[in-house]
Amino acid sequence: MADVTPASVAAFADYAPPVTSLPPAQPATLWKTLRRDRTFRSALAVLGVIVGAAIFAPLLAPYDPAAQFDLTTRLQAPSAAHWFGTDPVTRDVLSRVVFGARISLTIAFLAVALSLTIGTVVGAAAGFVGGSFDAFVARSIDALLSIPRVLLLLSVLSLWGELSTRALVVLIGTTGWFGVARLVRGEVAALRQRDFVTASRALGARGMRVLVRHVVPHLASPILVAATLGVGHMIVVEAGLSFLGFGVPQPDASWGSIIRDGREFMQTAWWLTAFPGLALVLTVLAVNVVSDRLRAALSPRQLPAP
Amino acid sequence: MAGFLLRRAAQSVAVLFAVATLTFFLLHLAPGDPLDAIASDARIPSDVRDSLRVRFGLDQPLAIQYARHLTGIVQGEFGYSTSQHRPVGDVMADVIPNTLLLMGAAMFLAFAGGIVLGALQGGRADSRFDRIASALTTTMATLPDFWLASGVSLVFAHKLRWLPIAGKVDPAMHMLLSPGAQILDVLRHMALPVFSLVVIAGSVVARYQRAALLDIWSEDYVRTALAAGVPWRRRLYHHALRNALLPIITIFGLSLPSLVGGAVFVETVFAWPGIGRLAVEGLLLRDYALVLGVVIVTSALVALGSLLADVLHGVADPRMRNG
Repeated sequence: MADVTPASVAAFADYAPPVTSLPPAQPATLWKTLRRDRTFRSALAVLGVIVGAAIFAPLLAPYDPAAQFDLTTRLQAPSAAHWFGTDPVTRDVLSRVVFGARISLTIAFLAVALSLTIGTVVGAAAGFVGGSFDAFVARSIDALLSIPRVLLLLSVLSLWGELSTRALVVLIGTTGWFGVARLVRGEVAALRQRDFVTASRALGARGMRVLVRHVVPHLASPILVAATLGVGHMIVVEAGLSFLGFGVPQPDASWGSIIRDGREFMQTAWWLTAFPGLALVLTVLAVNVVSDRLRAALSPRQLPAP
Repeated sequence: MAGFLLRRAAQSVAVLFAVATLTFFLLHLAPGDPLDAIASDARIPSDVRDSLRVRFGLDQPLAIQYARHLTGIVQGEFGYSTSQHRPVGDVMADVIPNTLLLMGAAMFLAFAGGIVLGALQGGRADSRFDRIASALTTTMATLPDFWLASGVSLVFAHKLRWLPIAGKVDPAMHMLLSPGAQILDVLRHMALPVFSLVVIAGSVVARYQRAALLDIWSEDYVRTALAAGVPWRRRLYHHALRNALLPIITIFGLSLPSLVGGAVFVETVFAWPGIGRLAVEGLLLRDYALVLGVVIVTSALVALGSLLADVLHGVADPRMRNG
């Protein structure tokens, strides 16, 4: 059976990379492999610039993202004074995009952290306990994965109405763990059969100790890959919700909500939607490349393609 | 084969049951009740409110409401749309064919194009063609659907004016056109939304197909064919591609939820009268019943699609039937 593992799994299976029993990550050797990988280095550099821009936004942004100037400067095309142009209420688009990085990235990181935690706990519990509990969890996860994500989020939003940014993180995070749980469950179920687990049991280790000390460390690699893929995925999910008008509440603006604000003026002012979109695409692309290379470096069978 | 089908169908039913249960509890966990929207009006007397509550069964215990919710779904009853003043089932029945038309066309083209591109890439791995195509598909696969759709509509509909901006038919002229011209009218309206979906989904399919073909390309029997002097084209299409199609059938099933998700955005951008746009409109108008109906029906369609994918897989690969 062919083994298909491109990073674009993210686009399909709700960011569940296929189950592969990777060895536990050895940070030193891993870094040695990755350091020689030019694609990885450039993707990491791009990410560094974007994360740096988000962290140092107040220093880097030329204007206050909410500052409004006199109305003669509204909807100006990109120029030396406003690199990314200005919007209908004269705000500087570059400053908005730089500050938008903060919102978009923060939401994505927190949502990934949340979904990884839930997914790991659920998946490890199911895989380790086994039996009918495992079967039940596995079936439920399959069911949840078959619901289109956007529609699931929309239905929750329809019931709760306007959400704070904090609630949005919780919502995106708590609907994003199914893929992780499936991945972790598969890994744990496979690890449970391994000799070193049997050996530790033979030496008298109890369930919890076996799970935490012997099984969980082996999950580091697949979780690392899932986490990087997840960040890109979450950025897009949040942007999509904000684009539909159900995401980050005003006055905060993520890349998705900046695109939404500019959509009305798209015909006359392309820069309102083009630049936040490019920032989004560049970030997600860099994250996906990092994830892809990381997987290639972690998986001994798959040599990194040139 | 019959046993495999039966097991697989039972799984789909379980999935639908889970979705129905989930939506029910979402509905009841939410603050307020479905009548708040109409009944919070001070001009409506409280006895009217109570009678409405009785009429919609909201005075019943949760277990009874749950049982009614499930039997309703089985009978195709999804409640009453407060925004359209029609049963949700009727509203959805009007737009589902439009979504199926859009998705069907997009999936066919995405899979056909993606399989061919991926196979050509895999058969000439690391050639200049392969590298350019890989860079393109990697980038395309990350494009957010709503952003690509907006850009496509800006360039081809607003600026170049080659194709219509929105909708399914020309609102003024469609009824006056001859049947042939009417079909052409729909096709012209479909072109841009389908193109947006195909660019993204086709890139993803191409990436999978390339990886699958690469795996098969190094198999002994393909090398034997090379040694026996079988030409490249025949090795690719006759020997390698047939086996490399199996993972793509799996991908077909797995990709359905995200393709439906993509349709939500693309339909919204191009104002295509489909089920995704219906959900977004229902959400804006706080029409719970409509949104939940859409979630249940699309999940059912997705479950049906992945069932179909598994059956296809079983047909194509005898190992699946027994496994």
